[in-house]
Amino acid sequence: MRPWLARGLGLYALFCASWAGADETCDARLSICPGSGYLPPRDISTEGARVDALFWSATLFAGVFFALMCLWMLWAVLFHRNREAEYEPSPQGKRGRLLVYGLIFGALVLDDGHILATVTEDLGIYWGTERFLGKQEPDIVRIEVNAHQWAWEARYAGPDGVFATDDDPVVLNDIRVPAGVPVVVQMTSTDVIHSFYLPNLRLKFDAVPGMVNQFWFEVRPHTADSPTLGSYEIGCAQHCGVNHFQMKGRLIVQTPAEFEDWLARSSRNAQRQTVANANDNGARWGWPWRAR
Amino acid sequence: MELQPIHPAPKFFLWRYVFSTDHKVIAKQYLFAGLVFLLLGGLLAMAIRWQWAYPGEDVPLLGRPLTPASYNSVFTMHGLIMIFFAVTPILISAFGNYLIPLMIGARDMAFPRLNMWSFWVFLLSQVLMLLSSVTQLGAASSGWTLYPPLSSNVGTPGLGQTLVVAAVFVTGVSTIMGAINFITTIIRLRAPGMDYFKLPATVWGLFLTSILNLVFVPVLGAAGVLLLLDRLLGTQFFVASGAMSGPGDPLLFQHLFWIFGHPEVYILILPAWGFLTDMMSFFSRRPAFWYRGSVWAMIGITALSGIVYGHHMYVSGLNPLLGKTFMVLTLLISFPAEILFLNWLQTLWRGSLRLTTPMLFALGTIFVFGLGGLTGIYLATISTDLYLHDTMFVVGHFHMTMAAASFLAALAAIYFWFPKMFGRQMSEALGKLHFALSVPLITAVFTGQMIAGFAGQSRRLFDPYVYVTFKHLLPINQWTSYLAFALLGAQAIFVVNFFYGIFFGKRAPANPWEVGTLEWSVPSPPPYHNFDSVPTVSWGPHELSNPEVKRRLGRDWIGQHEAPVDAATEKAAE
Repeated sequence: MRPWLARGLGLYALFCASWAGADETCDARLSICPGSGYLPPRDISTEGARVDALFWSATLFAGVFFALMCLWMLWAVLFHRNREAEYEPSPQGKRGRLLVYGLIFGALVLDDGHILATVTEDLGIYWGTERFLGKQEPDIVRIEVNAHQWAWEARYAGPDGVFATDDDPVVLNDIRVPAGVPVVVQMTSTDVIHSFYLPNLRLKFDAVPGMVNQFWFEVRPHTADSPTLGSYEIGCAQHCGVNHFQMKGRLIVQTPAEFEDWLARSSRNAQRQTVANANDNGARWGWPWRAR
Repeated sequence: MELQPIHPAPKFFLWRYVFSTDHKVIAKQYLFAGLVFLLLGGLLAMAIRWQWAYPGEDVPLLGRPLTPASYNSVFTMHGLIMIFFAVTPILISAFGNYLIPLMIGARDMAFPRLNMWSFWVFLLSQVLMLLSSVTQLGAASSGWTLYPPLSSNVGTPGLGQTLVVAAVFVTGVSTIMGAINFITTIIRLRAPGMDYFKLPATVWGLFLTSILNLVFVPVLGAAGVLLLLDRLLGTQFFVASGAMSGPGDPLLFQHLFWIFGHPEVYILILPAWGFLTDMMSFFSRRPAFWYRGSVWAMIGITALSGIVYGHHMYVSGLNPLLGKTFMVLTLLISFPAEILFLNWLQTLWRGSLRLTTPMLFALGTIFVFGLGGLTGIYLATISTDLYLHDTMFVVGHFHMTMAAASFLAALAAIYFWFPKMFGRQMSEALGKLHFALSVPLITAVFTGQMIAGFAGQSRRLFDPYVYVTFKHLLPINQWTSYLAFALLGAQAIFVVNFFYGIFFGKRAPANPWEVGTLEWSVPSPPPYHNFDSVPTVSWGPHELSNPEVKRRLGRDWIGQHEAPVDAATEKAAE
């Protein structure tokens, strides 16, 4: 192979590789994996692939549009100078120009139609939490999140299945979920607006004081080809004050067995601490699970 | 009896150049006030970029590093200054004031004294902004979007934040005064024969911007007043806490803010779209393609702009049906914008392009706005917005559409109307060098932001690298910062060219660009009363390369006020 060709291909391969998102050598069970490349972080969710697919189809459309626009302008700048300017297009010129509008708007309508259809289906899933109505552990995992300046506090229902009772495990910046089980979150904030951001699950939702927002997610079951167990970062995505940049938490994905074990131990610890918490109103922030 | 009789200019310096009611003087006052704050906003941006390239290191010229608190103030003031105190005064107030009376054939605005007051009220708002930075707790730090409860007296106590909210209110008052003036002038003081569809697109852009300002700035004013009441008098319009609802609703502020905030982005781009429609025609030497379509497209966008605002609130807990409705409307509003684009491209086609500095910047504006506008699709689409909301992708998108497009369009306008405003010409060579550096750099800087955002980096982070997931984005952020510093440096060429031109530039003829709109039919600079006699308009604004005109007059342009070239007039002239 010609040396310049080999070098060119090598550079191109390097360029493509730099875009890759996943660092395959890192085991998330040992520590949070650093990101790499310029694609979104590795997706561990059941529904995130829909978002990624929409990214690619939208980019295809936008990319073609943009390329055509650039070519058009370049052609005009290079070849439509120092000539007789056309005051009025000829009849076939008019038809040609009209064709351009027809083609572009046709493509636009098709793309927007595709987006509308896809998003309608997506929202039925992302924002359609009615199917979890009335369900509770072990079919789903329910978590109440209370955002603070500048930490994420989370409460689980505990063995009694009821929130705001003494057996609720309450955690700070350390939210554990089982892989393969839907997790439904109801969330509010004590002070200012925060936003619960899970880059590895392609979702975020605002925590607004005075409101309880509900969302759900599910981590794919762990396999050797597609590992999902381990630690991932929770970010805050709404400016919330001086330490907004440090308001990161940790999402720990465990096997259902590990999760049950942790939940039981944490609940026992919570009950042991009830005496100490008797006068701590700040610790009793839970609310009865809202039916939505 | 003329609507606006000629009267002599005042002789005393204070009434002639300081407290002037002459729209041309007021326009220049706005221009310089805006340019000063543009520099200030730009320096604040450089501080942000410095922090992201060299986290925790001393900022040059400042001598100490940014702290999380000062960083929050820096990006808050950067946003507010650029939107309200740089782009608005330059694009709308300066060019609106200067061009509207001249382009419609009037001698001044409908309300010259109101015009003068609008500038001094604006100056007061700029002073309030500057004062906020010398308060004990520092300037505002809640983000330019001022979301409560963070922006309430509980979230961000101190006089600085209050002064900034007050400054926004005061500048809103100035804007409304200006809007009243522009709208009344355009409706009532057009010269005989100047029908609405003979108006230059520049006037249409400024007209529609003023309508949006008049309708939606009061909503911002209302939100500001409610916020000030919360901050100063202990009301609880927006303050709430925990899972109990009431008394306050933080989301109410978001609705009020974005009902203004979304039309605001169209306010900042409509004058630019007007300039582009005109300049594409002028520098292709042919009529603007489907001019009626462009005007109706701008009107359509104006009408739709108030009902798409919910796309800023997709993840805040809105009813899903509401979210979907906003998405459909947001996708729809891209249709008129698409028409505008295609009309510009069609105007270029088979023209005889003159690649002057204003034309180069206008083409650059179309390029960056095309790129920025297309990235809006990802944000309009709810599914992808769930990931992209509040990341650097959003920042890249609005910078590409607002900062890059409006900034380049403002430069195009300055290069284009400089001969008329100052009676001298800027250097074409320096202008082209400025273009060659600015457009690639500005594209690269904001593309860098979008790349970081697509990788997931959130916005408004003092130190993004605290997140292990985003630590690897340091190189792209550094590169974006280097390019941003270079972009700032490149503007020195413009500053030198601008001031050299004002004092030492070659004297400009009345019509250096050879186009037909009315401002080019008077000397450069125009006399105090603009027109010796009010013109009668026969032609449209884009009458270029008309074969009949070429045959009878030997040139490819004809002024809007010139006599019609037809058989009847020829017969009469014989």
